[in-house]
Amino acid sequence: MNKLLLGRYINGNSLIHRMDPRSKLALSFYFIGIIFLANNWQTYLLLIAFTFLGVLLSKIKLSFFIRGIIPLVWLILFTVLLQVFFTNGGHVFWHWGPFTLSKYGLVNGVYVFFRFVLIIVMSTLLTLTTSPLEISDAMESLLKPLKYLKVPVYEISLMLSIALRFVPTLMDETAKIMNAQRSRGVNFGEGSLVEQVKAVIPILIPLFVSSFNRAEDLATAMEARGYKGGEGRTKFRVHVWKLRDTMTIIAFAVLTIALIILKN
Amino acid sequence: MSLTDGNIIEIDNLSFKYARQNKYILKNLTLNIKDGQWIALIGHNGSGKSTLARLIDGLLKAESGSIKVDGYEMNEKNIWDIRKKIGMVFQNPDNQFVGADVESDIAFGLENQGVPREEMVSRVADALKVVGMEKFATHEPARLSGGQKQRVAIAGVLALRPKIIILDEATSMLDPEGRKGLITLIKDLKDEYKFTVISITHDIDEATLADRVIVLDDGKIIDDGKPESIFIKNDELLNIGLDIPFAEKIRRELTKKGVDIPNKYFTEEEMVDWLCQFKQKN
Repeated sequence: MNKLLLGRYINGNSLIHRMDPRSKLALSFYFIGIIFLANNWQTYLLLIAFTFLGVLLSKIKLSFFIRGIIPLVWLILFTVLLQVFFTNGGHVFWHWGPFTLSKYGLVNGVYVFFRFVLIIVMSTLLTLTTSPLEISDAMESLLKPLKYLKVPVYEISLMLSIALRFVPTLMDETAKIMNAQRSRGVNFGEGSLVEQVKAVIPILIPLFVSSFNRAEDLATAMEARGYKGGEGRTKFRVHVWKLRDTMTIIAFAVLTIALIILKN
Repeated sequence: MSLTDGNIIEIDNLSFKYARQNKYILKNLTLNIKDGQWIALIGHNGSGKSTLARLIDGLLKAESGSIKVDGYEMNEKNIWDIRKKIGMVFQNPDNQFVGADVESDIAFGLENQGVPREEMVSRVADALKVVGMEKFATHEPARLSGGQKQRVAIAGVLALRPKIIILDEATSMLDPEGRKGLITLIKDLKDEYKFTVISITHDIDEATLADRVIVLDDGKIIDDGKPESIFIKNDELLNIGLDIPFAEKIRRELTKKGVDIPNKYFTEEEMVDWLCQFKQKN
């Protein structure tokens, strides 16, 4: 039930699992940036090797990563085809109207394909090895500078962690409401599209009503426990920067330098 | 601050109604609660029990009258100090679980008070141990039973070291087993830490454990006294829609059957003893 949302997290104790979520999140974004440095086969090969090393270190089966790619297969194919047919240059193999199949286009298509796959694998690596809660912690601390722009960073992160905490609760509730409605004769997943959409309404309305009640209860409980906003609060969960985080950052720096040297 | 006559809570002439409603939930209520007592607050739905609890914690604002908690007058200035003295456990185990796991939920109140982290860690660990949930420190709420979640709620309250614990129907959503376990736990903790307990309950058998029972009906106190004096007047309780304790029910049925049983209040243990003696004699 609670495998939904960001919850693709797989419990583990690998090097990647034990990394500070802040460095994992920041480096995942950084990786998406430096992937655009690559523009020849040497640089792509280097990136693939680097990503593969990360996957190996996480000790998670490759099939989990492939499962991350599958939902995006059509998007990847579409983009690759666009690249292949609309890029000109080099030897032209085939030509019809606006479509051309050139050597340059084919090469670019392959690059775009790998760029997509690498980004997906890297972000999957993040979500598989980092629990949603850790990601929300990491986001809070990375967004901290925004506090100076009067962005309520602490509140946003608390909202996120409460939302995550209530996902399984609301899933259970949904299951209960569906059963209750079934026992009153509602058919789910049957009939025309309009009928199916209509069947969702008797789930959504009770779910909304009970969520609001829950929210009110929760607000009362939070206030009773002395919650008065992020001001003056201390934190129970703290993340400690370790040597492995520094090492990973050095590895990324080396990768960046290598990419700059190898690229055309 | 020394308490007048040992009263930890002094409520004087308190009235409350919700905005845009004419009906008063509480009307001119005056009540003193002694430090260290176990108070059971009973009454049917809508009698104003939960409202009273929320007023004591400053979660609702009284229309008139005054509330004093541990010598502090309830007002804007003192409200956070008063809340520090009171720990509340609510009815729904899920809707008061703020943290993502057991540990961080217990820490929530401590974080709010700005307790330094080292102290927080040791207080959370202590509270976990006290409620017997050490093994569940990193469990998410989805992996806990209702009774376990309520234990976590109590741990969260205990970590704040309050002087008063208010249980707002805290056991009503639990199964009989969980209910019994929770009440025993609170009873033991109360004996150890000497806090005051105000237990709002529908469970009459739970109310019999109290030092003092207060019966609320329609926003007014209609009865107030030791359990043995309250529950002997069972017709009145039945009239306002409340049940009577199990032992008292047995006594009444036996009287109806013509058994010669003393016309006094029995606790469950006393009833068991009496029945055993009765059986030996006959």
